[in-house]
Amino acid sequence: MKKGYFGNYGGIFVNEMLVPALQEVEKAFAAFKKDQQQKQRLKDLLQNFAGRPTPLFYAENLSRKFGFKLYLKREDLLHGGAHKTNNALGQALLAKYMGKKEIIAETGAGQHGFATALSGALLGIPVKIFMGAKDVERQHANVLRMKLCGAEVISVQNGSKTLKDAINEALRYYVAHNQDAYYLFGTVAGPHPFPSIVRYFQKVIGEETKKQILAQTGKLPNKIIACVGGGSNAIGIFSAFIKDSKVELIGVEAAQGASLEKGKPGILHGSLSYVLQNSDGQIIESQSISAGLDYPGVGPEHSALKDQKRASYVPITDQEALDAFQLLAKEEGIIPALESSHALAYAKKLAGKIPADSVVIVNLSGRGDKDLNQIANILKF
Amino acid sequence: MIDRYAQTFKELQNKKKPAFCPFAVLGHPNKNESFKRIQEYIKAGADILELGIPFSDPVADGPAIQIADEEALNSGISTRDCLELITKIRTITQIPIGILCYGNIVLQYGIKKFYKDLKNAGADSILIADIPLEEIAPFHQAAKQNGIHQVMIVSENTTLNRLKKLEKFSSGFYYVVSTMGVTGERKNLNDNVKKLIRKLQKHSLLPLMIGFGISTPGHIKELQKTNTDGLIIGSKLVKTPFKKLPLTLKKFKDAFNSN
Repeated sequence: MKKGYFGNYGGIFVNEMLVPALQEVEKAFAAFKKDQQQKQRLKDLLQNFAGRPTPLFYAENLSRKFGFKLYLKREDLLHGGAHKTNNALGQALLAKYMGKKEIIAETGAGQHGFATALSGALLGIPVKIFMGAKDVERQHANVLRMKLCGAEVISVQNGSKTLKDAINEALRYYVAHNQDAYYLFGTVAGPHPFPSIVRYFQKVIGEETKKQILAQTGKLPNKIIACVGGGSNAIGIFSAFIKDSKVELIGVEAAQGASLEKGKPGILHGSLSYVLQNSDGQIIESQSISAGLDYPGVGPEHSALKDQKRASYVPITDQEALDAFQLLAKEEGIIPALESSHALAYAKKLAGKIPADSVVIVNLSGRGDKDLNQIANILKF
Repeated sequence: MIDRYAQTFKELQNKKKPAFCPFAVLGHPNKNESFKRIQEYIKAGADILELGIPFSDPVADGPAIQIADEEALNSGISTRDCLELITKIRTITQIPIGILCYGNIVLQYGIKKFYKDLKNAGADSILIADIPLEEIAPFHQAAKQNGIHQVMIVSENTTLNRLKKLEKFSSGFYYVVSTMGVTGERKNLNDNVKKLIRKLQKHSLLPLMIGFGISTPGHIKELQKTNTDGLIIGSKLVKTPFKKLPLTLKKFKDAFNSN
């Protein structure tokens, strides 16, 4: 199989100018993975700084309500508030290993931006975060968090002013500054080697989940459900189970950002993957109440999993996500991120439709503190 | 079959002048006005044309061209419209026409069909901004089959090793990036550009055209000394309102004519 490809998807679709920098990252990543000192350092940081392992929680109240056994993988409890920290810490260590002088990143909901900012603060590397102006507005708490950790937040005014525009601007900056800067990509999309690197640092979610579910139930789950924006938390939890063919993998997209459901293969942000586009190939703007799912593209591995029918992808509307958000808070005392609420909303749809002894795991990719202002406006608290 | 590029470069080499190559976004600000703008380029004495197909996410372009792309798309321009425009331009000039575009546009049209239609429209070359050597094979093949030059970018980042590999997949000319980054005007053209050009002239067989950052007649005078085969002026012209276009074009053309 061609390097940098997952099935027919992936690749390195970037300006010629950027190829040497990406090759440099790929080479350093290969060395990093073999370096015992770096691996130990990461393990130590994940445990003592970030709070791994995260719990796998049996949600008894919702299980009773839904009529099957619901487990929640608590990435919302990770330092930073979302699974993004797994990747940011790992790649920040890689950036330091490479001797890079600056870290740049894009962010949608601000969780990846915050995770990168805090990692930069911890490791002493200056950080620049690119964020769409619309997202700066709707995820303002995270902007504050990034700035408190010393990061510079650049508000991107072009285009739809959301994640895809932040990525465009970060890529432009990277082309001009790739000697000194490390582009810490936040999800399993982008040009090779980014999808592979992010997968590597997020697979800890699935590895832990497998151990935990076996310890708690003695068997593998029937279904694993995760929300999909770019797709990193989903790949993170799916990865340990891909070879377990009886475990159903379900990705949940925002209904108006459903690249896998409504898009077709195209080239965006460096990779060939499913993308929302018109017949000419112009990219269509996505819409979602959750900034992290508001992306017209998706990671290439998801495109491959869809084509191979190893995973299925379903849409959830803003309203369904909002309902799930409130349900989890009232029934289990957990306030999820709006992104993760999409995954829970799909689990809710299975209520009464699957056998009572089914074990369903929902990846709770983040917590909802960042969404409270938005929620307050919508629910008129 | 004439190779318009080879012919033009040869003529200009005899005159010891680089080609004056202005860039326009096809369909900017709309289909009709775009044709009028490009007509001015031809009237002003352009030796070669570079024409961009607008894209929703132009990561290789700075603010001026981003805005032009957005205006063109908002006016409802399609890929087919762009090909029609090229066909129309071909009826009023025989100078080489090069296309600048992004991979997804070509992919969605159908690679083989795109190159065929591009040739029929009268274009001579194409540069796809987000397709590097690693992914160029199917595009290069279609280019060869249809007699279109596949143009590749070289920059300060291009090693001699990479240049050797690029040589097998490039034709027409090399698009030399005069500064790391995206399209856009710059105050100073850096010395690395001049070093890069010397290196390329030593090791490469293809003509060289410099793009990105050329925005004043002063830049032209400076770069003429490097003995490249052509200079591409984009953002500055794209930003110029139609009324001022003839005068701006004249100033650039004069700089090319002076010695």
